Order: sequence, then structure tokens, then C-alpha cells
Amino acid sequence: MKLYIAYGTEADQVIALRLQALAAVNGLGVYVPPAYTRRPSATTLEPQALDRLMESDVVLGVITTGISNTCRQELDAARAFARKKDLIVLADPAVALELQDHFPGKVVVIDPANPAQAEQQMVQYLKQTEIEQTARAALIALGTLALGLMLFAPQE
Amino acid sequence: MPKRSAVIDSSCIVSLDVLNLLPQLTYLFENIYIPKAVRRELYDVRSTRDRLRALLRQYAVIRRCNDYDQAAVNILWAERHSEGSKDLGEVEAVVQAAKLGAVAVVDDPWGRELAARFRLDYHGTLWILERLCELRLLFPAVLREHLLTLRARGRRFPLDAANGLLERVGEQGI
Repeated sequence: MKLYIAYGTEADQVIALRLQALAAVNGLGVYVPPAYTRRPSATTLEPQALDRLMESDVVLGVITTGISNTCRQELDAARAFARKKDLIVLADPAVALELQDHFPGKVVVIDPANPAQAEQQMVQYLKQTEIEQTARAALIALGTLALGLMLFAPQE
Repeated sequence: MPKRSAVIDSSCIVSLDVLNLLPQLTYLFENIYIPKAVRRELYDVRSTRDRLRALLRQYAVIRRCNDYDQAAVNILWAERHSEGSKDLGEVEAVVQAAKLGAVAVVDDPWGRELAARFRLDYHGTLWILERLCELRLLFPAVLREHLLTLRARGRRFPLDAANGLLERVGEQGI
């Protein structure tokens, strides 16, 4: 299974890199876009990112404080691309409302006050997808880790 | 999650990049700083120059650091230079680490000695590999392969210490 992590801003890249490191040791291929793509100067999706998006089975959004232009484009592209591509956006409550409007049914709110509900919501969402069972289990594990990393990430 | 930052010398960052282990460093350090002299050393060689540029663009946690105690660097550099070395990287890495309260990540024996004189927390590439094994971010068999890769690429490391590490994780020496 190939995973693409569309993280919101440069500050969120650390969560994506930690997930990538954990996934690598468990045999999952994870692509994390370079940090410069989250800088204000980056306005369009690069061809390499598009290729990686096309190749991926799942696109995981990780958004804590805000969403960069490029991240939004990645999530839009993931939604538009293919029927078989799954999209799940893990978002902090502060940005979740805005994202829910753009990506209805794809956003899991990571509420630090209620992590159990967030996990339940994520598992529920993944159960509805058409991903193969072992891949789904791996994704649930990875999503749970993302949840933990988001909860324990230092807040600016 | 880690709260400490690290200041890294050229040899360590090149070795860890060769092994594709830079994302894993986010489990050990909050930020990884590359001092000016280390960048200059890497910019001097075309292959590492291009790679350094790419790393600085790729990873938000890898940052440049430029402010340091110039007087301290000059004194230490004179000492280092008198021993015949042209590398300023270790000196700046240690002085920067002292200023930032960071860990010095240095492989060079003189640099490690200097870090000890500054009473810094200092480590090298082998320590990082061992920590990643402890965190189960690296399997022992992969660690052995990595050490072989480093040797094949001409990256220098103390063989006794490497074999000691392999023994501790239950792998055969190299």
C-alpha cells in the first residue's frame, strides 16, 4: 500500500516524517512532500507530487494549525483523481470546520479533549472504504499513531 | 516527543543521509542545525553541495544556524589549525551546540573531545543508529547492512565500536 501524506503547513511536516519513519519499518511506502512546498512562494503542485499522488492508494491529510495552498491542492487532487483513491483528513478542531465544508465526510476531528471519539470516527470511516483488509488494518494503526503524534505535538 | 535540538557536523549528516535516516531523527531531536562552516565544507564538493541544498528544502526540521561566538571559534580554530586540520566544522558545531543548549552530533575524535571540554551532551552516528534500534525504528539486521553500506561508501567510523554495537543488538560483526 502506498500512502501520501498531505500535511497542512511546514510545522506539520514533523508529524508526517515520524509517520513515514514508522511506516518504513513496517514495510509501507509513504511519500512526504518537501517542506518548501508549504512555503508561501509555492503556489502550484509540482509534477513529482502529482505523480506520487497518482501512484498512492491512500492520501492522509494531517492538519493542525492551518492549510497551505499546496496542501489544499493535494487534497483537491486526491478527491478528484480516482474512485479507488481514499482520502482521510485528520484535523485539529480549530481548522476542521472549514475543511469539512471542502471535504465533506472525509474529515476526522482530532479533539485533544476527546481522542477516543476521534479514533472511533477514523476506524468507522476506514471500515466504509473499499481498501483491502490488511491494508485497512495498517492504515488504522498508522492513523492511530498520527492521532497520538498530533495530540502530543508541541503547540506553538 | 523530543524537546532537544542537535547541531550536526558534516560527517554525521552525510552518513545519515546516505542511509536515508534523516526522517527518523525527528524521534530524537526537535530541530537539527547545520552551522555555517559545516555548510561551507559540504558546499565545497559538488555532490554534497547539491544534496545539502535539497535537504534544506526538503526538511523543515533541518535548519541553518549562523549566530555564534566568533571569538571562541577563532581561538579554538587556531588550536585546531595548529594540529594541521583545515576543518572548522567541528569547532562551529560545538560552539553552536553550547550556545543553543543542544546536543553536538560529531564523529570526529577532536570534535568529541572539544564537546566534552564544553561539558556538552555529544554523540556520533553510531549512537544515533543504536538509539534508532532501541526505538525499533531500525531492525538489527538492517543496522548491519547500513554499516556495510557506510564502509562501502568510504564513510569512516570506529570499527571496534561498530562491532560492539552489532554484538549488543545480537548481530555478527563486520
